[in-house]
Amino acid sequence: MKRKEFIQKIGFVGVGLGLTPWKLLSATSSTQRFVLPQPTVHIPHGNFAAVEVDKLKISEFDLECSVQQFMRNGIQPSNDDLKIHSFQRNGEFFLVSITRNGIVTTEGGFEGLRINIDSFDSSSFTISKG
Amino acid sequence: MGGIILDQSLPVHGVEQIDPFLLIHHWANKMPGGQKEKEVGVGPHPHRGFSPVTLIFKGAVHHRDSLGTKSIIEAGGAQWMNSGKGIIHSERPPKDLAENGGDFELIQFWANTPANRKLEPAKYQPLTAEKTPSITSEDGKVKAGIVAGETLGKTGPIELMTPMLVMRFDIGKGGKMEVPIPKDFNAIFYLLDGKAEINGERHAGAKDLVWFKNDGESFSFEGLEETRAILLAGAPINEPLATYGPFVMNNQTQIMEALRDYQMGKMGVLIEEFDS
Repeated sequence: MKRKEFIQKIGFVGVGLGLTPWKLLSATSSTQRFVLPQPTVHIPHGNFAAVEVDKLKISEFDLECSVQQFMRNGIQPSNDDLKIHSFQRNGEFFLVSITRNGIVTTEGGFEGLRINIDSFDSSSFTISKG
Repeated sequence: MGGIILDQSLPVHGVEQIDPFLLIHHWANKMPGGQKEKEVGVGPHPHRGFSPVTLIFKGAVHHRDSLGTKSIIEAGGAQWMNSGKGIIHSERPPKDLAENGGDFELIQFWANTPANRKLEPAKYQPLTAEKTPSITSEDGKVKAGIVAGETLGKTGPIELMTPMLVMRFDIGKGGKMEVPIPKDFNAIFYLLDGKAEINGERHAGAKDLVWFKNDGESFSFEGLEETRAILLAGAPINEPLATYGPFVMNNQTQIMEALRDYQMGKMGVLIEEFDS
């Protein structure tokens, strides 16, 4: 096998404290659309702890959101690449994972709120009440 | 702080794993000195669902983890960590190496854990060079250390999750050895440097990875020059694989749960303490 070389960026370890101001894109009577924070990209045994996680705070819903993108093999994009969208509120979680080829799984949730992300490449999401 | 450049022989294009081995990194560096320990190496990060194993060849590695472990292992030793349901650890060249400089070389490989044991408590197993059983070839030109598993009447001290044989070799020019491997084991022979003839036919050089067919119960080598190498052999787990970032699970939902548990602090906390 030919050797493969890659560069692992090492930096400050920890989670960024700065919160991106939330941005409301559009709203109807029951649904609002927001811009997702930039995904933090990870490779196997790569830079997991060395990159700051961009976080979005939506005060109206007391929600915090982050997106982490995992390259399956760390070499090149693949259909199995995964994004995990994490939403937190008062210690409760709602997570949505989407692969590049469209497999979606969810975990947890918040009473009275429905959060929707269209696809792996979506740059926004919606929150519906009720 | 700069980046780290290392060699990745697994995974490579078209080969996601050689079950149960998921990843092989070879990191060799000349530490310049004049640095602080906290500025070098890899800081705190989580793992779940597999065993990251570090074989140290030059210098030393200071392992710290959320179990409270602080362990420096020097050249010739190994750090075997079953990450189990979750652990946070850091891996850095120790203080004197960061400050004074020197050679630093390690191989880290990842060995998968079967589904029914992925959520066991994490465990760190250090192994020094002195406590690594060794074998010398009949011609006296090959010294083999048995890190884990059993072969040629010696057994490595590491407690394993699945059947495996992990060895390290210092091969002199002309040194020969035949190593038995169970036929059902997948087996990899990786050369850190030098050159060797494998099974009397093929030549392998520095940073080559030799992946054996499962068609025999041993392999042999002869050093064509001074050579250092490792053998990774293990029974395949044959389960679905979901390997993302620092987590190795069986499906997408389990990866999501791993990230959630990390974010909730369920994998513990590691606050590193440095002298300076």
